[in-house]
Amino acid sequence: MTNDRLDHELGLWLGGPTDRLPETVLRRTFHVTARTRQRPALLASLGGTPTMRPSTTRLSATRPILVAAVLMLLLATALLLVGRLLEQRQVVIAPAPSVEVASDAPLSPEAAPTVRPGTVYRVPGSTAEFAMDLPPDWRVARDDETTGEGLRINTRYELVRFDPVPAAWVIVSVDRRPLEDVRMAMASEGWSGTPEAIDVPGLVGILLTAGPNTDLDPTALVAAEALTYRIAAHDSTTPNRGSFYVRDFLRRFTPLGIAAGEGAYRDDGWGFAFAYAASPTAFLPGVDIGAGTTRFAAADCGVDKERTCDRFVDVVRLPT
Amino acid sequence: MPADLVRRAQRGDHAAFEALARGSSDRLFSVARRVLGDPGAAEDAVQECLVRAWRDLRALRDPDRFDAWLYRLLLNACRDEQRRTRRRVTTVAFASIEAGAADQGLAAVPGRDELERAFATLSVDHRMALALHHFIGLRPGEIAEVLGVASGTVASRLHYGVRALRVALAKPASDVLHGNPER
Repeated sequence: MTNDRLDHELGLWLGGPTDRLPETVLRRTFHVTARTRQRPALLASLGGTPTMRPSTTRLSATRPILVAAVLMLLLATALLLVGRLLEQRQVVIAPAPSVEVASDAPLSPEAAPTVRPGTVYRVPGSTAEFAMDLPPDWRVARDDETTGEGLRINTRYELVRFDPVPAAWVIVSVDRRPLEDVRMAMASEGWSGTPEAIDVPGLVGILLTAGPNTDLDPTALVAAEALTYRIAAHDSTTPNRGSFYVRDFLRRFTPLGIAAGEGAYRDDGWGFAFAYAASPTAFLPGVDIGAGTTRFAAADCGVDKERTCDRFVDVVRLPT
Repeated sequence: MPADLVRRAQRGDHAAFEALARGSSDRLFSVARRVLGDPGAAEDAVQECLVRAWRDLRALRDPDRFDAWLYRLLLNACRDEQRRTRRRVTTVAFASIEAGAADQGLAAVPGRDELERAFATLSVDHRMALALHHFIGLRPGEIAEVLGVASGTVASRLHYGVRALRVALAKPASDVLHGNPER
């Protein structure tokens, strides 16, 4: 191909018709921006956003100095505060208590072990590692039934239960149509029928899950946002657009941050194990109100798929 | 792009920002598709670009340069998207030309397949420079303003990009397919 021919074809190829951004993407974007605060100009520029000054397009030479000065100031302030706190002996760093369970603890709820507050388990990236790192009381009895297409339809995990339960986790799938499910669940309890009405004493968080084929729509995010003002954990499957939006959503709106990332939900039911690991003091194998993969997860934990909405209510009514 | 809309958006006017975004979204998407090659990744990049635009709009000193500023945000979003997908994608399959494009004769361009594969071997920065030049029709000086680099750098990127395409086109297709998508 000659040079002129290449230039010509490149121009033809790149200079094709304008593509149209799907309306759903725009609506999803506006849903996010409507709930995102604008950053002050200085903060935004310090964060690396180009300023595009009227006189020049180049970054100011003073910017690195300004950034360094601000960082030094912040560091000095932090050191000063830590020093004062330590001096006043107000900082108490206690080791996390361990789980006291017998290694042969049965799986029945009556003999459930007690998990103390503050216990933290590492959450390795892969399911296999995660399984190996489960505490000794964590028994996962797995029994797969598969369809002719190889899809597991009745994977069952027997999970230990914890008593007392200081608070509840609600597992909300944002896969497909959670809003309607939530409304059904709440309506059955005489609540107002909107997710915003959920205000459960002791509810410390909500686990969001996103299936591999998740394609979130604004409706799902509306439901999620209303429910997740105290989210502390998130799990997702392999990186995909759905999980990306969930992560992005949480990063923007979750004051507690994301307890762990992707990779722990590769297999059905692991979302529950993940939730336990993220916050064992506040976890109850709960409810999935979504569909698809997470619906199987609900079945894995013994939740009747047909009664997920009822069980949702059961969870949020747990005593604290 | 009306500067007053930008100013209103900078004061937190969502409606103004939506108008700005709607006015730019198709162009942003078209550029992102050409740079990233994948419609899904391009959608994500545009969304990220627009969200960052809203969040950091107050950092824009000159409302008249909103378009240029937006393209630079898009470049950053495309870089991030490329990093995110690099581990999963060994080669960037350029989006298929849709029916509308075929009507305009683009599908008939000879060697388009080779061109796509060769284009995917370029860095995001090179692809962006080529897309802004050939698709948006910006001159090197304007691209320099958009990307925040010197005009000479843009000229170099355009020159290198085309030269690299020539080199890649001369290679067997299998070498291109298994090559490093980033150069």
